[in-house]
Amino acid sequence: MIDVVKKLGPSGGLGVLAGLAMMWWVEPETTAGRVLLVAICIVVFGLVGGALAYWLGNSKAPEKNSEADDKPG
Amino acid sequence: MIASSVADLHGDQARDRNNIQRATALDAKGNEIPGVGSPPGGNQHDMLTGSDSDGRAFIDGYDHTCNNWTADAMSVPQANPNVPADRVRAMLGHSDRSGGANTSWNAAHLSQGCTKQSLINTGSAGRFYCFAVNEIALVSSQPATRAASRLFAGPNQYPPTSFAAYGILAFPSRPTPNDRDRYKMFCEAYMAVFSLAWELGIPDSQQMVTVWPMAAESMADDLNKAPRRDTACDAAVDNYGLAAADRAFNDATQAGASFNGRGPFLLAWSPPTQKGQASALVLGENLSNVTTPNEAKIRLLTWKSEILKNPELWRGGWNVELIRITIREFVDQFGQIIEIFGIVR
Repeated sequence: MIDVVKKLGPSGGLGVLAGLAMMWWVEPETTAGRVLLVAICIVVFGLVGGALAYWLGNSKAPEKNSEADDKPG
Repeated sequence: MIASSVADLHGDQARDRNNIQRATALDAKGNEIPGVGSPPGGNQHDMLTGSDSDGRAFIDGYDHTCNNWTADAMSVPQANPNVPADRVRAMLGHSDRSGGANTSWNAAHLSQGCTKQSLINTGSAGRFYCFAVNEIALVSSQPATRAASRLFAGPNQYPPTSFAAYGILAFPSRPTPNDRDRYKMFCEAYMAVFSLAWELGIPDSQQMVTVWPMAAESMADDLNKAPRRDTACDAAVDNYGLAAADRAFNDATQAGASFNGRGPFLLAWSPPTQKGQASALVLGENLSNVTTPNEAKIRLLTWKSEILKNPELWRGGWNVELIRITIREFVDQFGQIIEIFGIVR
């Protein structure tokens, strides 16, 4: 289980935790419902994490460029 | 001020919320009424009330009002001369709330009879009571008045549309010997947390009433007369009004709710005329996981504080519940697709 979470990365790990919390709150009546709920949370958190990483990556890039621009040359 | 509401004025044998004392119970000229401790023969604290401590008429079949305030003797003859004369008496209260270990102002003890001398014998001058309302205080306090109350209601008394809003403590079934104690636990918590609607002394239109449904109107009326009675919950549980509860479940289901668990469920609508319509404001609370009397009382206290909030907030509370139910239905429904592919068995 820990290996699976490691493979999922931090976003996926958070997704698992959120899925478990949602499982407690929503109380699905079927096992498949519970699995689907956790899976949805992992996907949603994975997407949000990916989007954040992409956005942070892009916002850092201009800083590097601006440093490069400062160099004489 | 002697009491802030009718409910506080009455019921001083069960609780003590009024400020009737020797110094405040004055005669029409503002003079103090001689009470306990006055010179011999001077005690006049027995007031003619004719009612019980809750300010209501007695229903035990005996005279408590000197034959509806028409008798001035010790007894009244019967129409049939062979039947012994009926004794007549009046219920009296102590204006100074002292004497004889009974401090009720409206139901301390019975008179010996209805003659002047029989009233004097126990410390009376045949006085009766009246109250003056502080109109300024009444007007200024009205806009903020809102209260949660309870009501036992028969099938035709539910829904109680005269109230500002109403709720119901709905069980999905009648009690059986196995779970009767659980029903009684909720009934006792219900009676402990809420005052009866008439006890509050404010119009129904300012009350958020929570109903305990009963199987018959007569039983409900009987329970509504007594604010607290040891046997009330036995009667309320044994005659639980499943028909009204079922109607409430149907209405709530139409509004998008679903019910799982043994219950009970607290359901509320505001305003009552919108009940069952999709746009009705509905508040729901599932008490299926409550197991102890203390927990039941806390949950009902929470419910009481919630329904006293601005009814606009009810919509928000209900939406959260709707979201939960919608998600559950979604994952359960589409989870079947996973089962089809054999991922989960």
